[in-house]
Amino acid sequence: MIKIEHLQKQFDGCTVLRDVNAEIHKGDVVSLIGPSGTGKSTLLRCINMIDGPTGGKIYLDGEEITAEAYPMEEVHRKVCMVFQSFNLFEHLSVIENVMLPQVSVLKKDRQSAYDEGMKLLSSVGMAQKSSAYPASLSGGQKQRVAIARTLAMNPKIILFDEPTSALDPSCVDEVKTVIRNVAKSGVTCLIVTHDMDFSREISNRVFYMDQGEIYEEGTPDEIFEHPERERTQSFVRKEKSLEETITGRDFDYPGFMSKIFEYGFKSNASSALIRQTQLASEELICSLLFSRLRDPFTIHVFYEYDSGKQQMKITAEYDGDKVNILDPEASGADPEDALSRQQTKLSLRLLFSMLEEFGYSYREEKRCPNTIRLSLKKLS
Amino acid sequence: MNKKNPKNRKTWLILLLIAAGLAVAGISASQQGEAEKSSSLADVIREPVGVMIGSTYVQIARDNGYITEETEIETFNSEVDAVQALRDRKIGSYINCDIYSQPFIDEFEELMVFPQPVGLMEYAFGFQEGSPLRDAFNAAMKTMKEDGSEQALYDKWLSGNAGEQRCIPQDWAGENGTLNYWLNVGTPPMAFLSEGGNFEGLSIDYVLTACRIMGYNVEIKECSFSGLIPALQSQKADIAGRSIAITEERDKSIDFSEPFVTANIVLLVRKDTVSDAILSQAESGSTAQKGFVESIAESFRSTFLEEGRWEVFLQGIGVTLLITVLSAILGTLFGLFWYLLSAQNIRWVSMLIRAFNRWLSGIPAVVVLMIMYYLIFTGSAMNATVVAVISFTILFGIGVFGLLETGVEAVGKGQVESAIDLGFTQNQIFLEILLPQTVLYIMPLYRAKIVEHLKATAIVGYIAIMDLTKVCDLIRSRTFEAFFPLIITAILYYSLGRLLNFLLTTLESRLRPGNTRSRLLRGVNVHD
Repeated sequence: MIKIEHLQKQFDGCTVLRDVNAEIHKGDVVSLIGPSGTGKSTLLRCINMIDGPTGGKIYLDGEEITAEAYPMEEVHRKVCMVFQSFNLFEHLSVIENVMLPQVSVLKKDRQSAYDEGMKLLSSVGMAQKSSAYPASLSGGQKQRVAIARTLAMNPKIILFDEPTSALDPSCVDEVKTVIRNVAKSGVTCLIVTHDMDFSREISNRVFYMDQGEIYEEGTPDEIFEHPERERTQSFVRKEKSLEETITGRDFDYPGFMSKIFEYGFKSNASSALIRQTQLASEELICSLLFSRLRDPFTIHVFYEYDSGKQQMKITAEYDGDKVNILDPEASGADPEDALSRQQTKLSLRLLFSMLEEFGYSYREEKRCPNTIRLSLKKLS
Repeated sequence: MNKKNPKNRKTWLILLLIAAGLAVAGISASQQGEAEKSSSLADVIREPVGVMIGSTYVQIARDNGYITEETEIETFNSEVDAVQALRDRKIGSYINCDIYSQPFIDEFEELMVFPQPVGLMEYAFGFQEGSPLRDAFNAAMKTMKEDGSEQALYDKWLSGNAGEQRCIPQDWAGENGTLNYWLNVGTPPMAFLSEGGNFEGLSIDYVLTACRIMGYNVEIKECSFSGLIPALQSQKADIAGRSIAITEERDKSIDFSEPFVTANIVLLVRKDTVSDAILSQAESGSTAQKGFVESIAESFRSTFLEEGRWEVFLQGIGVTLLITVLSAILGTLFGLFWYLLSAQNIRWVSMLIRAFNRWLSGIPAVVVLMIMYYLIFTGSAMNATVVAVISFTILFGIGVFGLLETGVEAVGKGQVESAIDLGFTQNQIFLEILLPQTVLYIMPLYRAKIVEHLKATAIVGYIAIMDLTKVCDLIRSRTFEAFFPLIITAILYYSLGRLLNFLLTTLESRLRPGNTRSRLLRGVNVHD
C-alpha cells in the first residue's frame, strides 16, 4: 500500500533521513521506535506531505505522491495524522471539531456529519462531553476527540505521532484503549511510540530507526527479544532498564525518584515494588554511599525489572577506595563517631529487610571498581 | 539596620522629587523677575519675539534693523497661542499688523501696542500663477474704489464692532460659475467664526463684493495660513487668503491682486514691561467689548452659548465621527483583504505588500494625508473628506494587517498543521479556523487601535476639513479663550473614545465561544 524508496529529508544542511526504504501493506500496524531525533516524526510528516521529502519517492496505492503534479487533496484524503499535541480547534466544541472537517472538506451535510460525529465520539467514550470546549478537557480526553475527528475522515492510513507522549500517566490508558480498537478495526496504522509494551501488543511489525534509516525491522518478538544488530540491541536493552549517574551530593533526588517510578510503571511492576525500589535506592545512595564516599565521587546505578520473576535488580558501581558499603565494619566509617555507626547499622538493617540477594565485587581495572548488586524481594 | 530597605529608598526618592520641583519653580520664577522696563523698540526686542508661522514680519524687522542675529524668535501656529505666550511672559513681544492687534488690546487690558511701528505692509489676495482671474479681480477692485463700495466696507468692518457684522448674502446667480475661496480664519475684523459655523469678516465681504461684480459665486473654505499657497498651487483654490502680505518671494509662486489694505507692523507688548514715558504715548484701547472674567461660567458661555457655538462643536463631532467610523470599517475590511492577499503564497505579491506597509508606516500620518490631498488627488474635483477617509482607510488597514499577523501567530502552528492534514484549503484554514480565534486574541488591541485612530483624525484640519480639533482652534481664535475650548475638546475626544470602546466590548462578548452553555447547533437535529 505504501512504498518508500530512498527517502531523504534535509533541513538546512542537516540530514535527518538519509535513505529510508520500506513497504507497508494494507492492514499493517507498524511501530516506529528509536532514540530521539532519529527522524521518526519526520518520516511520518513526509508520508502525509506536511513537510515533504527532499529526495526519494513515496508511492501510495501505486501512485507516486511525491510527484510535482500529484494533487495534495488525494494525499490528505487517504492519510490522516494524530498529533502529539492534539491540535484540536480551540474555538469549537467537541462535536463541532468532529463535524467541521466533514462539512468543509468532505462536503457532507451537517446532519450526517453530526450523526457520524456522535457515533464516533461514543466509540471513544466522549459522547457525553460533545458540547464541551477543548480548554476544559484533560489531555487524554483531547486526544480521544482528536482520534475521533481523524476517524470521521475515513482515511485509509492513520499516522500516530507519539500519541501518548504529552499525556499524564493517568490518561495514557484511555488513549491506548482507543488506539487498540482502531488498530483492530483493520485500518493501516503507523505509530511512533516509546511505549515498548504497547507497541509489542498491537503492532505486527516494528521499525527501529537509527542513523537516518530503518536500521532494523521485524516482528515485535524479533526486535524486542532477539534484536540482531548492535544498535538495536543496545537500544532495546536501554529501554528495558534504567540507568543513572550521580556525581554529587546535591543531585536531583526528587527527579531521580520520579524516574524510578516511571520506569517501574512502564515496566508494569506493582506499585508496592516500585515503592520498595525507591526506599532501597534512598537507603543505598543517600544513607550509605553518601556517608562513606569522599568528594568527588561517581556512582552509576542500573535498574532492571524482570517481569517473569517480578523481581527488581539494582546494580550500583562507585569509585574511590575499595570499600564494601554493605559491610558495617568496613573501613571508611569513622570509628570514633558512634552516632554515624548507629545510623549506618540502621540503614543496613532496613535495606537487608528488602533484599532477596546481594553481593559485592571489586575489579581494579574498571573506572568504578566497586560494584554492589541487589535483588529486591518478590512480594506476594 | 538594613540601609537598603525599600522604605528608606522611597523616602529619598520623594525628597529628590520635591527638591527638583522646587528647583524648577525657582528657576522659572527667577526668569519672571523684574524685567527691565523698555524705553525703545530696540529694548523691547531684546527679549524673545513671537511671530506667526510663515509670516514675513521678521524679515521686515530685520530689513529695518530692529532684529539682529541674536534676537530670539518663536513661531506660533495661531494668534491666540502667541498672545497667550505674551501674557504668560514666554515672549517679550508679538509682531503683527495693527489691524489684527486691535482686538487683542480691546480684550486684554494688560496689553498694548508699542507706539513705534516696525514697518509698513501691503496686503492682497492670492491667485493661481497665470490665472486670468487676477486681472478680472483687479478690475473689480477698481470699480469698488470708484463707486465707494470699498470705503463702505472699511467703515462697516473697521469701526470697532466687527464681531457683530455680517457679510452680504450671496443672493446673485454667478453666471460665470463658482470660485473656490480658501482663507485662514482667526479674530475679527478680517475673518472670523460666527453664528452657526459661518465665517464673516472684511476679507470675505470684500471678495464677495468683487465676485458679484465679476459674476461669480463664492465657495468658502477654511484652512491654515501655511495651506494657502499649496492650495493655489494644486489648483484647489481660485482665490486665497484673508490678507496675504505681498513679498517678492511669494510673488514667484502665486499672483497677487492689487493691495486692498495697508497696515502698520507693530509690536504687541505687556504694559508692565514698558517705561512710563512710552505708556503715556499708548493709544488707549477702546472700551473692552467683553471683560475677560476668569471664571468657568464666563468661559463656558463664550465657548458654547454665544452665537450658538455649541452647534459648531456638534458639527465638528459629526465630521470627526464620520471620518473615524467610516475609515475604521473600510480599513478593517481592507486590512483583512490585504492580509488574505499576502497569505496566498505568491512570493512577489507578498513582498510588495510588505514593502508597501513598511513605507506607509514609516511616514507620519499628517504627511501621508497632505501627499494624498495635494499631490495625488490634485485639482479641486476630490472632496477633502473623501480623501481623508481614503487615507485613513489605508493607514488603519495596515494597522489591522499587523494585528492579524500577531493574532495568527498566537493561534499557533499546530492547529494549522492538523487542518492541512485533514485537507482544508488555505482560505478555509484562514476563515474557519484562524480568523475566529485571531479575532478574540486581538480584540483588546483592536479596541485600543480604534481609540488611537479617533485621535489620529485630529490632523484633517491640515486639508481644510472642519473636524472637532479644527472647531476648537476656530473657537479659541474667536473667543480669545486659550484654555477652556482645549479642555472641552479633550473631554469630548475622551468621551467619544470611551463610547467606541464600549460598543466594541459589547460586540466582543457576543463573539466569545462557550458563553452560552448549551449552544444550539445550527441546522442540526439533536436527538437525545
